[in-house]
Amino acid sequence: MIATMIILTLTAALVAGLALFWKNIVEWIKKAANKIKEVLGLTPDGTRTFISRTIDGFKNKSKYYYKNKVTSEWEEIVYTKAVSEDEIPDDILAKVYKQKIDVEVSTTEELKLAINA
Amino acid sequence: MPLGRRLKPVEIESVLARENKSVPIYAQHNSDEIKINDTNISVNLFHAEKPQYSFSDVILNDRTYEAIQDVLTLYEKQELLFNKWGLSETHKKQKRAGINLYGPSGTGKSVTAHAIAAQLGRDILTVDYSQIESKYVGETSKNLTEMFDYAKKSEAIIFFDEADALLSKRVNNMSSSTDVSVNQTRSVLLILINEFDDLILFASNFIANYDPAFMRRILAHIKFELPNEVNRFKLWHMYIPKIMPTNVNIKKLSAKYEGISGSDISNAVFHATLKAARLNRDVVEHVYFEEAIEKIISSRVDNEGIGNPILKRTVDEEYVKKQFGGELPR
Repeated sequence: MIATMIILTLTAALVAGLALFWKNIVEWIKKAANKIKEVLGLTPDGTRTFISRTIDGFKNKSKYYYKNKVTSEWEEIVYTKAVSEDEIPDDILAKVYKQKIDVEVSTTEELKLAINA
Repeated sequence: MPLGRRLKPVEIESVLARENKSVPIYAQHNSDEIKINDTNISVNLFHAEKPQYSFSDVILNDRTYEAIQDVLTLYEKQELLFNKWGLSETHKKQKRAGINLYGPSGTGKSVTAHAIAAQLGRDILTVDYSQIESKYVGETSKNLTEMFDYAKKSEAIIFFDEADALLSKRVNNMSSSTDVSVNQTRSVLLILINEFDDLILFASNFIANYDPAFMRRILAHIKFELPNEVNRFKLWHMYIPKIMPTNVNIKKLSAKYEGISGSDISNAVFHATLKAARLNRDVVEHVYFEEAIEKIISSRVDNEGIGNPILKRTVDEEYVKKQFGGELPR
């Protein structure tokens, strides 16, 4: 899945070739996944990324999913991080402005395309 | 009135008035020192007060509450323990124990200190070290001595809030006059604490750096933890006024947002309410509470540049499949 692909296969060369917005997201996901592994001892099975416009500005969200081996239940961890408007690619910005404030817009597919480009 | 601080000259009159000592005074304020002229009235520069909270005002995890009650037995049943059962022969020094309440900010340590005083039927003298510390050599130690004298006379329980700085290790290799002064202050404090024949409360965020000499004086270190889901429910319930018109789903808030303190919840309720008023809404919407608590979580220091995990929750399998286009991630 996308998360495993992002976390395990991204190389420095690949990251270097990405636009700053996507590069920051990829590095952020790696850091967060490492943190989850460090704190919970878990490797997320999947991740999704979103962006939203809030009253405090734009926020990137990354969501991590894993199956708790003890309870066998799925759990979700959500990280948020502020992002400045001028960093956001025009096509993503246009999608966000089409939505109401606080509505999450998925950026997962765009991230996948950017990585594979 | 803030506690454990020096009174300004204009405040002395109110203290006198409260004590029915309405005589004219002529006060001069000269840096750290207040002199009262033409009167033989002694004005204490520290102020003990009646406890403002009881245990009904604080929601603690069971383990924390039980640990506190265990220690308080020492004070509530002193006669039985020390006289009838003879502990005064073998554990004389345990009568003057200290209790260290430690844990993250906003977990109810200060409120609990008041609740302890209330349960014991005592006044409380809250000490803010920044109010005692003086830039003049020797003055800090003098202030500490005055404060302990006042506590003895007023029979108040001393409560050192934010005690980390005060109780941290003395400097071994003194390289400056500041180091000498800090060591002198801590040595004086240690003597005062050892000579003080009563309960002392400490509250701190960190426990690792305490001077071992202080650690020996403390009978119990009681850990305060962030509330679990059950207690988060109680806290949301407690902080949202009964008369507030709202469609809030407290159960959902309690389950969704982990890692938050009672103080965070209190602030979130306040900000959610402000938003509803600002937008001229008839009810405080549930979403306002979520926005407020997410904002509080997001505003925390992000040392690692990861952002903050705003929630960790259990989700059902169908939800996960929906997130991944109908399949589970693997």
